[in-house]
Amino acid sequence: MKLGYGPAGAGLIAAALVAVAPVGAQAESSGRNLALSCFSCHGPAGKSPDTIPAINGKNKAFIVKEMVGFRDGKRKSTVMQRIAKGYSDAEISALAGYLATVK
Amino acid sequence: MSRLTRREFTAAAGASAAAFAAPAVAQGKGGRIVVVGGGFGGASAAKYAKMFGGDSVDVTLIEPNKTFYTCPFSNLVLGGLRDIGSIGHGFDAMKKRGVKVVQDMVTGVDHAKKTVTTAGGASIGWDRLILSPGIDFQWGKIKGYDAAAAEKIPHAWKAGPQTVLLRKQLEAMADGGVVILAPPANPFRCPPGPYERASMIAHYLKTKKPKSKVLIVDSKDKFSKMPLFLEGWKKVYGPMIEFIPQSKDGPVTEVDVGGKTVITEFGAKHKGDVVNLIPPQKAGKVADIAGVTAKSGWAPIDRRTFASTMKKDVYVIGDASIASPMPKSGFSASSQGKVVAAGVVDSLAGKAVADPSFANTCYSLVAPEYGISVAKVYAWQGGKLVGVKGSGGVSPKGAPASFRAEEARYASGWYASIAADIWG
Repeated sequence: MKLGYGPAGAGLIAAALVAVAPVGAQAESSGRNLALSCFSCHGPAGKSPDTIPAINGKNKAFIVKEMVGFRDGKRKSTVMQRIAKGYSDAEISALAGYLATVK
Repeated sequence: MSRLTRREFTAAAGASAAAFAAPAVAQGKGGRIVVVGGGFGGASAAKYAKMFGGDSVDVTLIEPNKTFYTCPFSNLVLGGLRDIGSIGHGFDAMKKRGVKVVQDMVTGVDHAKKTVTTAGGASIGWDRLILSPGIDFQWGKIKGYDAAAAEKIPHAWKAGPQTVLLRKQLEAMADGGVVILAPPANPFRCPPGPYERASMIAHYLKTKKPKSKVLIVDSKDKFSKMPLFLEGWKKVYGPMIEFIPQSKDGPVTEVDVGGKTVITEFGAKHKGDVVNLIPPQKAGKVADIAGVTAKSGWAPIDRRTFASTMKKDVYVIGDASIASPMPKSGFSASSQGKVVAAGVVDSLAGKAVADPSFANTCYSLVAPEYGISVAKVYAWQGGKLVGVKGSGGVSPKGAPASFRAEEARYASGWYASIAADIWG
């Protein structure tokens, strides 16, 4: 699979993060390993069947913005702010890159 | 599955193995992955191995039951919030994905020949074997408690008929009765589970038999999400739930099945009208059969890959594995199953196995509209599997009712999502 860095509007945050993110196949497989956890609450490929918000079909920049928002406490939540604190900028970039491409 | 079909299947598996397995592995193209156990860990591993490996891998899932009943949400069945059918999951979707599902019991593992044999007489070859055997009970650790006793005093710590049995006993109990719940010492499957169970039973009693009570006779002093449970119990159930720590009476050492009495090390006797004893546990029997269980009763692994440290090309995931700091939860098992599937497919393809990343979120219901959670992110750092500093933790204490209600809503959303992710 190609590493999708989302549409051109990925923005400065993503652009800055790419620099410290792992590159190539390693980035793809680590992004995948990071993102696999998401599906356990948000449903397979992020397509939630019930009360938890779906996260499929989002571009990378959006996912990065949300995750950073949860992590830094700007975005209120029940559990996501606790979970987002487990990921570095580079990891958020890698997992968002994978999520943006997964079908 | 009929004997003939199984033979045909074995023949087919053998043929395909002969056709491509050995040379394929040598060329780094793919291979045969056999997964044992269709629960949270195994079903996740089988589904994702097929998704990641596609036609290059031959994936077989062996599970003795036609339907897998989940321990998560089985407490809701006890509380009358759900019926047993709603926590049962079959394997039709798995079959449609191209996973060969064999309904059978594993009776042998030959590591030299790399085959698994079953009670039904099948012999299935593997290049990589992923075991997700769950737990078995250490019968005999509690004097008087064995498999036969469990038909009178259920453990209900493997969901299905045991869940239904305990529910029926609760239904048959007269108002004013005492339900004794005796959780084990650590480690055991689903650390917050017994306390969600106490909550759900109390919910049922409060609604239908309000003079009754739940007495927890614990074999430890502290438990998962303890301050949150205590806060919730006080608020919702008042004195209906009583907790006796092991420092008061000592751990439970004996049970009088006929007298429905649990007896502790310090000689205290607690008699109930319904008794739910959750006995000490160990890795599921399949781990013993495969020779991957250590003296502790659990399966030691390389926590980066979940490869057994005792047998080559064998992986152990879920409750059976020693995966600390990860808890023995369904979420953990599924998280492990997916990442391990990715690693196994990559290694068969001759690619490097990426560092793992796992997560765990455990919701518990204190009441139908009162949910609490604990979460953590796990990473491979400095050659160790660690809980990431600053990540996770429990729901805030003293949160408003709206927060608890939202977590209860997310609890049911989580169940629907993870079930779809694994068996859907």
